[in-house]
Amino acid sequence: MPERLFPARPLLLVDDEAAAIRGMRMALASSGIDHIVQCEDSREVMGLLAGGDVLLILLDLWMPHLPGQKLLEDICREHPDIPVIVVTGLGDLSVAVECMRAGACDYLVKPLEPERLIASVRRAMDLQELRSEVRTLQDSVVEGRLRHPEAFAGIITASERMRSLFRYAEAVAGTAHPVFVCGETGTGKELFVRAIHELSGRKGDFVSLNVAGVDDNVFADTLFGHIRGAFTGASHERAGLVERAAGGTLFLDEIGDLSEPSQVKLLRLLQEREYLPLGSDVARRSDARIIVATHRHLKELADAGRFRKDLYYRLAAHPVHLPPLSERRSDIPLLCEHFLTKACVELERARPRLPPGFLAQLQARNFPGNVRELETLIFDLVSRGGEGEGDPSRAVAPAGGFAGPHVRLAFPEVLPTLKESSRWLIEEALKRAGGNQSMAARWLGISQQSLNQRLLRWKRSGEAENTK
Amino acid sequence: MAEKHIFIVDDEEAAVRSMAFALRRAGYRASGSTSARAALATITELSCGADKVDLLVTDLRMPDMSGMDLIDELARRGVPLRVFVVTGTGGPEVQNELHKRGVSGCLDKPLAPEDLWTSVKKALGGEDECEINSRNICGFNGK
Repeated sequence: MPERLFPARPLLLVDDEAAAIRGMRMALASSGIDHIVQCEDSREVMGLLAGGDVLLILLDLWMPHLPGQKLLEDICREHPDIPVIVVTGLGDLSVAVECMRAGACDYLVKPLEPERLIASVRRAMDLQELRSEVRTLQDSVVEGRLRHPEAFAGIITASERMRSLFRYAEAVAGTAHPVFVCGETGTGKELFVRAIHELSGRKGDFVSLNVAGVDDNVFADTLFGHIRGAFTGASHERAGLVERAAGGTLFLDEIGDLSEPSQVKLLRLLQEREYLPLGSDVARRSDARIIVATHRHLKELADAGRFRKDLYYRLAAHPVHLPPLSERRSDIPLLCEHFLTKACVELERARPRLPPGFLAQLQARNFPGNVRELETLIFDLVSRGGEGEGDPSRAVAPAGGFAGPHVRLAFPEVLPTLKESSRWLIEEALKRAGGNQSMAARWLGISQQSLNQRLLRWKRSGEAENTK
Repeated sequence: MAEKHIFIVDDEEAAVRSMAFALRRAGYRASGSTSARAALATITELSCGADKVDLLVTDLRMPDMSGMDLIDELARRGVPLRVFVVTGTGGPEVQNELHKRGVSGCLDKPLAPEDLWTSVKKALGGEDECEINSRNICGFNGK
């Protein structure tokens, strides 16, 4: 299988000295950057640029025929979107400054330090990727619609917040940077990640691993594989998941549970795009795109010193926070319909008749398990409803009303007064009931008249305060 | 195991720097020189101490002293080390000469880091991956 070149678009090296080009190629290739074209005659550069999709240029200044400085001006005029790193001799610093003014993005002094070369090239590549993302995001904001809605067909939603996340996913799908998806359990993280993989246009596989509870040795062996004889019993070489995800996407779920030594290994993979199979001292390159997900607050873990900050910031290049179902309640009827149809087909049951107020009850409910919980609930409902076991609405009436076992209450440090808390409760009930006072009153266990009186009282006291 | 020390000699500074960079990335300790004469003095001196050179990676055509002469002089001085050649001028006759001197391998310029890593590993580790090379390495001092 021919090895894929990295990056997808080539770097152009322009230098009349073959030895200098060889040196740069070797240093770049050692760092996994091997998609390179070279040009030893400065007169041919503009023709090359016209015919190809070059990512960035390394340009020597001292060349016969057409001097680098003149060439730089031509490139910046004709191809302002291609970053140019100029390479200059020690005595040319004033020239280098002029070049920066003319539009070069960096300059390097010969003899080239490979570390400096790599750092500069990586920076320019990052810049290019950011520019490309910004362009895509700008387009999506202007257009306001999805280019590939089919990629998100598996996610049932009409929520504008979700649609804006889809547009963001479209914008970042094509880059090589990691994507960091966080969200409570059952919010559809894996569906979202698979959509990004589909949108990325990557030909390789989608490979996933849940890293929760995986110790460091198993993590390294699973991800990086091993060579023959790496440890007792390693009679054959075995490829790891990183290799299986070549040209594709590697999805690491529950990344917040990753052990400290494994975090170091993952950081190296992200920074250097290379890894060491167990027992091997020769690094292998990886072009797998990494996406991670967690239900935990990774930033808090990083602040508390339980997750490496450098790894966190590298992973958080493209953060996506999937909202819990309680923050997209308007999707509940859609999801309910979707799961009802699905459940009836899978369970081969007749569609149960839903009692009035069923959807409103669902919308009022807190879903700690999010979409997955709703799905389970509907499947349970269909399976029981088919046997005629009574009122399906029981399925959504939690024992003891709202104060069921899963209720989540969070109090501020200074406790609210009874008056304040009753007001909050009423406001929440009205919000969930979509302004329907009759329904809100029923949930609150008071009469609609009583609710109405309280609302009027607040209104009056609010007006009185305003007129003071 | 202590990291292996590899010494690179090439009159092109870009080649020395980039090969040293590639080898350091593979976990070796790499140093080098653009002068074969300076390399001869340094390697000889280091051979008496704890920081001796394990592998010499050298070019053949250099202005102050050829790679072949460098290899011969090191052998004459009894400096025990393995040699690997990176050259832009390798023909069958050159290969034959290198073979006679027990040089463990030869790569043509331009070379990819993966080739360098693999060849250096074979030259240093021997194992069963390259029988001819390991035989040649052993025969280095028996010229």
